[in-house]
Amino acid sequence: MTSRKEGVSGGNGETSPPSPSAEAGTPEGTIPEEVHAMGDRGEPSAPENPHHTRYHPKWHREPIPITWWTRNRRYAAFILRELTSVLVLYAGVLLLVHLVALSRGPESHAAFQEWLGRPGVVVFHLLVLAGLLYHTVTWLNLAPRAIVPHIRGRRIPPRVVLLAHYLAWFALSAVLLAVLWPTLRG
Amino acid sequence: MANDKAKDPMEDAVGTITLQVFRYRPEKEEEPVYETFEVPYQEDWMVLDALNHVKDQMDGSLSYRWSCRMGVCGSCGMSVNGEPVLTCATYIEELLPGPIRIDPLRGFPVIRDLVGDLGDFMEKLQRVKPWIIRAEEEPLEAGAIPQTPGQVEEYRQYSMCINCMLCYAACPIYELEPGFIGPAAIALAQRYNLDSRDDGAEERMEILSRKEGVWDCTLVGECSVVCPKDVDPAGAIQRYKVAATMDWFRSLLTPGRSG
Repeated sequence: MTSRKEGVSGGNGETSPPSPSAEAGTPEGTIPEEVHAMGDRGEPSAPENPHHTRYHPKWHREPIPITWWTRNRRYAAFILRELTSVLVLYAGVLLLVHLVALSRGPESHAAFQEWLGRPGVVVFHLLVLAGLLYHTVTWLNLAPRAIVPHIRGRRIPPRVVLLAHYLAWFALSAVLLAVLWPTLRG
Repeated sequence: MANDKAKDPMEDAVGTITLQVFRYRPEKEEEPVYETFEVPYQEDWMVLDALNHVKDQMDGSLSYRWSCRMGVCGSCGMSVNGEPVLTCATYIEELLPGPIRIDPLRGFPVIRDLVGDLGDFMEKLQRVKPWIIRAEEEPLEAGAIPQTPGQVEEYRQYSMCINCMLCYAACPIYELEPGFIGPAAIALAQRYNLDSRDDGAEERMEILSRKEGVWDCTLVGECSVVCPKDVDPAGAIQRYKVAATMDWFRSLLTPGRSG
């Protein structure tokens, strides 16, 4: 610790008091650390770490753990938003299956409805609904940052963009529900 | 501040704080280590003040960057307790009781201790041509090109960037996809794209509309959270995605158009 020379690099800090053993010439002290500093590099010396020399600087790169998204809550919220997009796909496929069942006639539709009514399926679909709501809300809330429209040179306030997205969402959901509701009641 | 130098730093200390500082001395050690310092701190001290105390009084070999101490130069960005911050704008009092862990900014190769190599950003910044490009150069005598306050407002937010690299450190995509142009460079490209005096949007699209341009971004949004200047780079990137998509559709509808 004490054998290192002072003031190696790292900004324009004020002058440091000389360390008592800096001039002592201990084996460690003989290595001019300036050699390994960022700026002007002197003659290369034999470093203790043979992988690090003047012409072969050794940078440290921090590995990226696969659990990087647990570092903070916002990363986790992001990953959850991305993962729930799978549920959006599922909801789309479910809708298609529903339509196919309808098109195949009453028997096929009745079987589909029977499946929909099973307790396990109901519980699963409630979880899917929660995921879909999370995905939709977090996604729509980002819209005003991506869409910055102008009308006659004036910027439309983010609130208006957000409101328009929610209105469109509710309107489309209402239409879908109005179309599908009769078929669900059997 | 000059008078304070003569004073005993302990005199105004309100307590001691434990710093766990990332040390990497490549000539000595293969792997970085954490070194612990017990630092007496004063009431209004920032994390940077504590680091300066370590360098002045305890271990002069500690390497880190800083300059202005007032959140303008953007050189003292470090990871404090895992969050990328400007150390000159982070009160020790807000991190009590400690210990405070100080790491170099994530995502950049570490040269020594808390000093990262930012060369990758500098290279990428140049690639987005962050300057005003005119379709035709006018002579100086033509005079200034006036702008209305509204036109200035269109890009002002993005011009506040101080290149502190906190957004890159916060961006998991930059860590995972090193080719990604990254938040600040794209925000600065948008700063010029949205400037009424600039005609360079098409030139910049060359690089921005690539995968490693805006499309690597998955909108984690953390860059905008950590930005000390409220630049909102995430917003800039998403706006550009919309613009690039619109441009692509327009080029589909008008086949004769170049690009």
